[in-house]
Amino acid sequence: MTFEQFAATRLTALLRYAVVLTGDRDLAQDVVQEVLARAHVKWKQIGRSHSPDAYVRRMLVNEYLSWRRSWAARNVHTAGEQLVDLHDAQGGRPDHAQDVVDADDLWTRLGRLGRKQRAVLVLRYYEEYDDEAIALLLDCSPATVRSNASKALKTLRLTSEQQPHVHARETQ
Amino acid sequence: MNEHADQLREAFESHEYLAPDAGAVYTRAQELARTYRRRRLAAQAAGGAVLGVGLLAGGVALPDLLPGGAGQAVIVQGPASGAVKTTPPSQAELQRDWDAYFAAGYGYTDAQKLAKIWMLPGDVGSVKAEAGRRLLAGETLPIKPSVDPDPVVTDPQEVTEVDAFFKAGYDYADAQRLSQLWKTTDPYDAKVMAGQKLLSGEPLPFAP
Repeated sequence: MTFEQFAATRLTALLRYAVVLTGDRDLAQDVVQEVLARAHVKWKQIGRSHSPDAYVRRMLVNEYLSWRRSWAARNVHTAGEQLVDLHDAQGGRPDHAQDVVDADDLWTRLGRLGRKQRAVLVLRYYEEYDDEAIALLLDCSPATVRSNASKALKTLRLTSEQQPHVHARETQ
Repeated sequence: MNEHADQLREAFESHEYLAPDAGAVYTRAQELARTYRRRRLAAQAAGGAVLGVGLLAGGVALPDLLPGGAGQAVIVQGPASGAVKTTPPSQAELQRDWDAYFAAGYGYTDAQKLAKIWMLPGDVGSVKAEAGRRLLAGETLPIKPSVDPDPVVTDPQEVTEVDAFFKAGYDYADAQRLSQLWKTTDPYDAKVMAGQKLLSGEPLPFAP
């Protein structure tokens, strides 16, 4: 797979992943741009890897966790950007409205988490990685992953975990 | 899957729509890649290597993603007052033109404006080169330099240090390794520390 083929087929999904991971459209753009540029430069190496997509996603998580640029000030929702606003503007169905409000509220609360805690939740529930795979990706122990997840869920006021996460598929 | 897992998945998936425009991201990524490649080539040149690769080799079009859907021309052509180039510029010419462009205070956003004015969609790097060429020829560009709204690193010294890290050929994986060796908070701190050492002439624990 060439870099151009990779970008043409994977970039849109990569951007969706980035916005979920970062919770911020601008930060997602900055991080993906940076990762994509570096991936382009070293594509000979990445293109030979078992899964270029997994490789780049790993780069994306690492870049996000080490990102130091002054993005916090931008990390606010503007009017019309909230899902509930969008939904209302489109005349959403009443029976779906509460789900939209709940999802939007949870999204806002996710924005208050530390980056590592958020990354753990995204990797576990969005990417559906198991804790061992997350630990490998984040270079920490599975116990640390579980600790981060537990703290994050507590912060989000969601139900604490009752048992270790076992449903996930393989990482790569 | 339990309830909070469903709630979280719903929250994540329902906000995927916030994803930025792929075409704009791809264009900017190519621009950054050229910068990184240029640094690497410059570093190689400093070591006596022969530069046989043109930077524009990286400027392959991605028609499906770029705004307007048109493939990008490698050679800048058609600006009203400029002579049309018929051969690709050399590495030295590109570097000279880019240097002139940035030295005049112009940035990425300006290049986007110039691309619109000159009706040159696609490769912003080529627009910068054309603008630099015109500046060197004594021409005035149709816009004044503006402040680039790109996010900036808070400490310019850190920028220099991190640049030194990458310019030496190291990458993120190396930063992770250094971070473990030096027990820094994260790989970014390792990049900064490594850059400081490189700039002061100190060797790092391993080669890139």
